[in-house]
Amino acid sequence: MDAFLHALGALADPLILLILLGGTAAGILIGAMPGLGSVLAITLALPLTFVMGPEPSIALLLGLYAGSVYGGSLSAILINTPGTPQAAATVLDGYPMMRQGKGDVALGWATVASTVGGVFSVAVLIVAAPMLARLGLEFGPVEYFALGIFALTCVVSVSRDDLAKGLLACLLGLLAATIGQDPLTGDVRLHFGNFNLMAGIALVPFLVGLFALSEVFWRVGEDVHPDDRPIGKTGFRLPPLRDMLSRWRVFGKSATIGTLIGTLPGVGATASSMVSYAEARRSSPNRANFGKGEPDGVIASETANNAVTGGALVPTLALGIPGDPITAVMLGALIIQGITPGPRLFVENGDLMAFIFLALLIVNLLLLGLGAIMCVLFARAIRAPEPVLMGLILVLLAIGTFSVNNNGFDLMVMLLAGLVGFGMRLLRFPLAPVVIGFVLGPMIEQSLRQGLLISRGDPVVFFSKPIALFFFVASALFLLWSGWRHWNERRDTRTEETDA
Amino acid sequence: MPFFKTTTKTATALALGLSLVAGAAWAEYPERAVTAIVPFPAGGSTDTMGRAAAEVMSGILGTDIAVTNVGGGAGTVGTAQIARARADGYTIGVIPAAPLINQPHMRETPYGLEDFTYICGLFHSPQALALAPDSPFSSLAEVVDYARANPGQLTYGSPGPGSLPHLAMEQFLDEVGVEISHVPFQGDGPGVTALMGGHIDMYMAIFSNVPRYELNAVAIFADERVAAAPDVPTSIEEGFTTTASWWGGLFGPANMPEDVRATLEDACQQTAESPEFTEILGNLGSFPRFLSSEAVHEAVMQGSETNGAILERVLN
Amino acid sequence: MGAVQRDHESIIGGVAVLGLSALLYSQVMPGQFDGVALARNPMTVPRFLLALFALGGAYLLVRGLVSRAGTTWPAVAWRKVLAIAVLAAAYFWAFDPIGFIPATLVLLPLAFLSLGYRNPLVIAAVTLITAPLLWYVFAEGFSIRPPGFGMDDLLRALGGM
Repeated sequence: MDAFLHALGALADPLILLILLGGTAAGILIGAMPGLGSVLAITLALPLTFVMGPEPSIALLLGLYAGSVYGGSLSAILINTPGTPQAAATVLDGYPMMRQGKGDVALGWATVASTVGGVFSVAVLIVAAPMLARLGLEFGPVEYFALGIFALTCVVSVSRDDLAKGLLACLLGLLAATIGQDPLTGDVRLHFGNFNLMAGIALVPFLVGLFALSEVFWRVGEDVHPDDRPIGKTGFRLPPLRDMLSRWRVFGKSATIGTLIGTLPGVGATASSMVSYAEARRSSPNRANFGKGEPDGVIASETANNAVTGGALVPTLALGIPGDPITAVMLGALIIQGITPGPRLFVENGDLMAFIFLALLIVNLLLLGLGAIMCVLFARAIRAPEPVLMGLILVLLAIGTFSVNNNGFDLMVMLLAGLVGFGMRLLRFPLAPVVIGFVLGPMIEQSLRQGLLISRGDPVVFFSKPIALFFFVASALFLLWSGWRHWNERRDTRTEETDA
Repeated sequence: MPFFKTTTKTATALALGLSLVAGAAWAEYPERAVTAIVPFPAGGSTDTMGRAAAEVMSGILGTDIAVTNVGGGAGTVGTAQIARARADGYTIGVIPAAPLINQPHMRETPYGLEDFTYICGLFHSPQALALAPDSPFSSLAEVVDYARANPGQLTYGSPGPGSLPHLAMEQFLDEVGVEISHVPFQGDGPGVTALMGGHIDMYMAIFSNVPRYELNAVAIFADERVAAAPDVPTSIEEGFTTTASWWGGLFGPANMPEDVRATLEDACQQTAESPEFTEILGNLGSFPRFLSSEAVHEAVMQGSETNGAILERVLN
Repeated sequence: MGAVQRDHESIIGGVAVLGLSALLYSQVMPGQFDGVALARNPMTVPRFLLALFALGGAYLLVRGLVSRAGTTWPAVAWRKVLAIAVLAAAYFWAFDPIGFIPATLVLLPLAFLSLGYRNPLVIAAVTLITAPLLWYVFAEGFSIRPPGFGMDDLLRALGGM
């Protein structure tokens, strides 16, 4: 308790508060720019932390981290473009809400959800970090493979309109992810003799092309009159408290999914928000409205991706092992400060731990206020005439995507992904399964083959571990159950169609 | 062929660039900001190291050094970009050895060792073998004896296929003539987790990981012990001959003007000797090590030959 | 529409999937990795996925051919889509070699015009503000230098003359 009082004292320093505020605001801004994401936000701050003390550095990094994860939702809702990969699931219901003139409420839900997810994960971090970190160590290749398969089954729930098309979209993502260097042997494959393809397809250009660029093509194709603004009310409006409370199950479930997935190194926030979205779409009482502007969809995605922030810090702080590339950069910054995260950090540096917890808590609460201000600003910016907006988005996509790797080839990937995305929209293929396949594919393949290497080719190993077995059984049950429901619902709609 | 397309791209850029700087007189190098390409994504060991070096060197050169991350392809994409940059000293690369001495043996790369100007060697960190927490072994010799009696039973992890730790371990296995199965991971994060969870028996890592994760290191593959872990014996002490380190330096495109190269080499030496750089690297568990232009060229040639032979055997 | 109703979405989708499978097949054909253990073979997983992909494509095609459900195509302004796609392709291609500022100065007015926006004052103002502003934000704010020359080079070149 002493440590917390000490940390509170440190946080009362106006300089620290100012840094938290500035870091969070800058994070939101960077997150909202398509292509620019959390890694960039934190890398930018890295040289600054060389000259700052540990507390200000940590405050800045945490602000940027939580802010950028949240910021991705602004462009996801306002212009149907996930600002960061983590927000890819937010577009699925956020943008339809926007089109119905409920953009302000959608932003409100996203903000509340981000705060709830963030605060929940901090609470878990405080209470259970060492324990969860131990649990994470139980996950070897076999368990990762089982988890990956389980997560992949969520494709079924996001493609309920047409299962065949959803599965094909997922396979497309899985195949795209195999292009380039084989993670196990280093051989290159599916590269068509092209050196750039040998390096594989990067997530950001692929995702930005698939969602954002194809959206530009799509909106251009809708041919709205230049002076016509179909978008109604935008700004920021908090949903009524009663609504929030009545959706507590979605909040709770998504926050849990986000935090738990976050604690496992290498799975990532994009996968966790997708899985959380799919889970909500499967179990929410409002599931029929999913994809048509259902707040539960926005909540599921945004709660989970912000819950990953606290989750990813669990192994980072408790073991010194970063949960994702973002915490890896943060870890580097901490080490340069002479702080070595690891089991002993909790014991030897309790004050600092308490400071990290409280700072992250404050950052998440700041999201509410800052989010409200930034949403209004952004909403204003997109009131430009449609052609002007589309042209500007094109430029933003190009500069944002290019700046990730400074490689012109990434722009070609984005163009191709954009054309594919446009074609898929035209033929009514869902886009979300492509991303699910793309982010889960490498993990599934690698853990499968690692498991086989360790067992020297014996597949029985995959059925001999309790955690893995649990996930396999859960996957099988889920598939059976959704098959049964799918069949029932189809029968229902058929009867409706004959009536009409 | 895509390479030709990029050549025309470069040519266009060159023409445009020339027309712009034509007005300015050729003053003494460096008269504007230098771009340092790091061929790995932001936040990794190379990047942190590269940024620290850029910070110190920009003070010495008296000009800004902007770090640009060009990730992808295990470092080959960024390295290729360095090879085909203008050789005017305004684009240099901070490269660890792997994309130069390992990757070209694993696949076609659009660059060869002759496409670079070797400026200097700058940093190194020895490699260490760490055992799982509940491992029954307590010395390198015990590991080797067990593996000799039970070929293929043990597994070791590395941060990736063709990484320096992978090659170092294979070189060691070659030396002692035993078989331990390789299980590659995507970087140290997942690899070290698997080690700590006991899913693999041992892990070959850059030394900096040992104090960071409090790993159960059994030997350091170096001539001398490291101050940060004084109790860990070296491979030499244990009676073996293999030593291995993660190392790298500054490289530029081939045919860089001699005076520019000399200026950079000199600045590099000052950087390596500065206490500031030593301290930052020390926190990362690495050490500055200056190698002259010829010495680093020699080291790359030799490394390429050794690792080429190992890769030939391991991959096929 | 014609007399026979067809599920064109599924037919085109199926054909596209099969076409893509054929293209990818050329990359996973039997070859240098034959006889390698399953876990060490880089082609195991891609081949398995590709088989499923092709199978799914065939299913979709057959389903489309059998089905009598009609397709309602969304109305698409193809000329505008084509124009913006060509502009995007040219812009992305020119981005690196020509440089951010000149490419953007050309793209923006063309994009606005081709999408039917004709207020010359706004076009000029937006274009002339956006390109340098973004360059400045990225180069100075994010310390990522967009490709091509920037304003600092321009000013130096002008000053040096």
